[in-house]
Amino acid sequence: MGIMWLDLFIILIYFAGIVIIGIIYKKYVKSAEDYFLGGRSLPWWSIGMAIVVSDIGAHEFIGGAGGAYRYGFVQGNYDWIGCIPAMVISGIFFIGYFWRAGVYTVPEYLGRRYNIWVRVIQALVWTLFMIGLCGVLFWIIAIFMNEMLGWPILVSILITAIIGGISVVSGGMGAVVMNNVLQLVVMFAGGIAIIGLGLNATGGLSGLADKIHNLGPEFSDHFKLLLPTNTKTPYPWTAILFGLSFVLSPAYWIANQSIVQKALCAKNEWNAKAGFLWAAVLKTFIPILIVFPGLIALAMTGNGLADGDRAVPYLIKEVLPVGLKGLVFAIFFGALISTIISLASSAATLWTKDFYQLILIKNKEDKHYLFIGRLTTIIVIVLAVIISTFGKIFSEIGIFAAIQTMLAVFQGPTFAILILGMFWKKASPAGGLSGMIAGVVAAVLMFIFSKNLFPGSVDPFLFIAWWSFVVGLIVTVIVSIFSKKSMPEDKIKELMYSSSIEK
Amino acid sequence: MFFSFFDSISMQGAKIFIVVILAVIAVWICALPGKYIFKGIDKPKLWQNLKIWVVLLMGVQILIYLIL
Repeated sequence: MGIMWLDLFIILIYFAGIVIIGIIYKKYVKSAEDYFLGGRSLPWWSIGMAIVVSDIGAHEFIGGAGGAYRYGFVQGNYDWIGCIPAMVISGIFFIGYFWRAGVYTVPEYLGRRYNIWVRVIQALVWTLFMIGLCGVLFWIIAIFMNEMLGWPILVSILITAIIGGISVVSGGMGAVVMNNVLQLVVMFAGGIAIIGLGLNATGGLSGLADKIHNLGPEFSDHFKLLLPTNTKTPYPWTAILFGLSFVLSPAYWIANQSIVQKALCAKNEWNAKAGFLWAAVLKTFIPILIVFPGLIALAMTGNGLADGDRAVPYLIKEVLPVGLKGLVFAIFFGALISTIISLASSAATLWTKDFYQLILIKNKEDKHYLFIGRLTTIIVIVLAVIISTFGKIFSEIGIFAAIQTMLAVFQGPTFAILILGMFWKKASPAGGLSGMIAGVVAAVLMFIFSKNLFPGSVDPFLFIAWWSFVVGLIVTVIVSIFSKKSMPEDKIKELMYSSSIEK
Repeated sequence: MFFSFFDSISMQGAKIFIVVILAVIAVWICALPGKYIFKGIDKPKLWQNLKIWVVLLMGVQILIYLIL
């Protein structure tokens, strides 16, 4: 398997480090705010680094490299046009609203703007999504550990769950952010090592390009960033622009709890905004770290891998020397764990603040909700472990596409009601609820009938994200116009765009 | 279908379309009042001007989509 005792020693030291960070941060967790929002005391540079690692831990490095193996440089759009503009807009405008509003979650903001049911449904849907995504990530880690260490899939999943669980349950969001910060530094170092050694093995950039082009005409577009509308990949430029950068990306960077929650930990509004922009700066380099490993694996194997998502494990085994192999493995494991603990923390926040404290058990002392937050985190991890045992389904369609498919169902409608809520004072509670439900139903129906609605499209999840956004928008507008009740202006003024800019 | 219209746009045209969107975002943010940009800090320094960060970020993105 290529892993020697030195590599294994480094890997075990890394595992221990993740646990130790969580235990160290336990002493700083005295309240629910400490557990969920790091005591609202974090500086911009740690927030930015944490945001990037939360985002790219698993589905970018491994799934993204897999995408680059299959489709080429077009995968880079996910982190360029598919991230940077939305991060800039979110950081400058939306994060300020959320931070100023003092909310714990995005559904809480939507609840204040519309009504309690929008908040509860959003929270439950996001919680379920995050549990599902944790399950997918556990599966990814298991593939990784099975490939590198030869450990059985179930054993790998359980070890990951225990390590991550101890860290996040002990130290809360403070431990999550500190883990993320350290992960990013070594992740960049490891990624550069893989690319440097991999390009050396393929004969540099020109050697890489030649090897891939010689694989056949189906690889002729592998070095193009934008692809035509009749491409056989899921990424025609229209889908990238309309589905990804106009809908999925803003919905993710504005309304994804696990991302936004990092900014809510900031010590003031400027640090919240700057944290997001710093994350955008770091994200600019990510496509290089992700796309090149996929292309290098394709060139080295001659398209010989059974599954493109095994590109990164293959490179770690075949390209890196002893010692460095173990370190890079530990880096990727750490990045995956960082995303998982971030998701688990956010899912616990959503459940505790937007459902348990709001609906079930109200007006208890803070220590009770701190306990519930920790208990929920454990339950989330257990459920994710169960889901991960069905991971083979995700491998068949590609892990990256599987995650994006899950997002496409409800991010579009969520984004629609968020945008209308912030920019149109007449968006009513009934309108917001109707638009959200209609958009999700539309997305599900489009998936079921996708072969009829999108003939010729390999995987139309980007188009579905666009159209579910449009449906959500239209239904919200129509129902709001005919609604008898809208929110009193004085209650929503602080949540709207114009007043916040003018102040 | 809505997207059929875009079949006739060349790849160069698609690049220009994307570059214009990036430039519009940068200009929009540069037009914001400074008070809003620096909200939260008492004595802002030049490096804390987030408009500069945005111009650099969008500038790099424009170069990427023009070159690649």
